[in-house]
Amino acid sequence: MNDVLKIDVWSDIACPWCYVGKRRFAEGVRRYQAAGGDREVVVEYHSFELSPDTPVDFDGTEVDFLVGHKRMPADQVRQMLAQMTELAATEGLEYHFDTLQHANTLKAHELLHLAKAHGKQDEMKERLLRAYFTEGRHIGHVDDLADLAAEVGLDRDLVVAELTAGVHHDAVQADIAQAREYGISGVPFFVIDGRFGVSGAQSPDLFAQALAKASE
Amino acid sequence: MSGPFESLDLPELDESLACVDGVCAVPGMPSAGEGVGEQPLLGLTERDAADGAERLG
Repeated sequence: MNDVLKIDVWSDIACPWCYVGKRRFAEGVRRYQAAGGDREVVVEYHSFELSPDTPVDFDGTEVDFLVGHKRMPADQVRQMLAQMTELAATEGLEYHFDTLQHANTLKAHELLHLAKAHGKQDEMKERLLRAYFTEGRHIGHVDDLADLAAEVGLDRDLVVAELTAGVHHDAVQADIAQAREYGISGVPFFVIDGRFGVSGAQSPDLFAQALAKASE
Repeated sequence: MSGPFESLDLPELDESLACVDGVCAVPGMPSAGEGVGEQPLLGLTERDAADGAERLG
């Protein structure tokens, strides 16, 4: 038996369900292992842009974006964000949609690929999600991303150089193309052991069951 | 289920707990005009809520 259970996760940073799903999946792994699951779970994140048409600098609030770009009624958007905030809190996450800076996530995805090459993808993903949802930081500019990258131990100058040059652009596009080939329309999306697909931020118990099944 | 994947045969799987086309709705969300909190947070089962409360202490 292969000791590693590989999990490929397609997700975005500007994706409230992806942050919730990250927490639920981590808890699912803990329960899988507590129940005797003996395979090492290795996670790799892949790029998915929920709104690739978002400008790097969107001048407005999250409510403005969803009303303007998705044609949703403002009241419905406010309710949706309030419920998502409440739901995230049950996972120990702080969402502040009032201060969130909606931005294009392409460069952030490039940074995640750079971080992967240096063995720091999970830390970088976590830092980007917290910066975006909790701290109201901008995640669309190279300089801002380089600051966040330095916080997880990446070389700031290297990050600026590689993001400016677009070194990881093709890797991001390859992930997006793979998602399209798989028929992925929503994120987070978990591919377990290359065989099973799980769409959405499922409960920890369901993730644990899925991991156990993939381990059989 | 998307793509060329095998079925996990897990009946509780809820694929609506995802962001699609830039919209990240909470299933069961009240329609516009209704108050937040008037309906239960679907997608957040009682077990999820208990799990969350336990983990938050």
